[in-house]
Amino acid sequence: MHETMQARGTEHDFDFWFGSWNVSNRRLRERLAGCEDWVEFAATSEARPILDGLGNEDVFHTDHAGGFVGMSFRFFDPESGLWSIYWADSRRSGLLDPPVIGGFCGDVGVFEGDDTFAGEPIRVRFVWSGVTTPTPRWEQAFSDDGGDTWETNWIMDFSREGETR
Amino acid sequence: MSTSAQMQGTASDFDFWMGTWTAHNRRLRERFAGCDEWDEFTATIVARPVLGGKGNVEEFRTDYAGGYVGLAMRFFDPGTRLWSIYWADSRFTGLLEPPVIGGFAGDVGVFEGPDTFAGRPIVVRYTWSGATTPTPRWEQSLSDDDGQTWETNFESDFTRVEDDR
Repeated sequence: MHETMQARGTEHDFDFWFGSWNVSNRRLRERLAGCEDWVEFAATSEARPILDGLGNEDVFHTDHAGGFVGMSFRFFDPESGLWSIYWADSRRSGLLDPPVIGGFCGDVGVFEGDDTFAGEPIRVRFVWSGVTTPTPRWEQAFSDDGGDTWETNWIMDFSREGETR
Repeated sequence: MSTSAQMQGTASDFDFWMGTWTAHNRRLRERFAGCDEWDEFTATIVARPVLGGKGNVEEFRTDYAGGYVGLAMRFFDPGTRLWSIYWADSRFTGLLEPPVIGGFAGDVGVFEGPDTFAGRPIVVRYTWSGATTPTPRWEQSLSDDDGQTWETNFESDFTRVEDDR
């Protein structure tokens, strides 16, 4: 957690994210299995502030895999300067997964948390990059060895809706 | 958890709640203190479906206590047929509190979950009643003896805002 814990931020860290985006996804077919087969698909995302700017939510729509809707909820803690990010998914609605926690340094944001995969404890990491550019990127990586090694399993490249991809 | 665990439902359980409401709130001034002084205040609520109807998000806005915004997030698990309800608040953002979990029987809904109060373990209960009437009610109760006795500390009576578009 040393990287994420040092990255303190402000409630404006995700202002770049508000509005509508086209999403080019590359998703690893199998996780933590030595797989190198990636699936590509398109999605849209729409983000807006909540809680008078102390949080935000986005809605992720895709027709991939039978179609699903995902939502991210992000809450800023002014005392710690850290964001907590939760993901909800129409395919497995109910309890939220544990959050990832972190912040930005420059235009890179790193957010980590504990979760489980196939019953085993893992670390989950979200990395935002290029957030001050017209084409931000989000990546998700898992670690099953306490953060020594990471496998990236999902990459999203964003462009503003209405612009050429 | 016996009451709430037996109350199952459908993804339509909160259809009655979508739209705009005025809340007439009574809030116990001190909790677990033998207090019987209540503050009365109003709030405006806007509720909308999310995740293709498997959830909903409600914004609660009031001028009370310096003004704050709350956000209830409700997610339905079709497997267990139970709802998980999370609450976020502009006065203490960051990590979400644990959810309350439950469902409806008729027009009464009961949702319970563990939390802490002043460092002690408690049980939180939300009770909806009159959900099929024009004036639904919501109550929050806390128990510090594992559900044997309950202290109600928040009551909201709702009326729909007429020009609800």
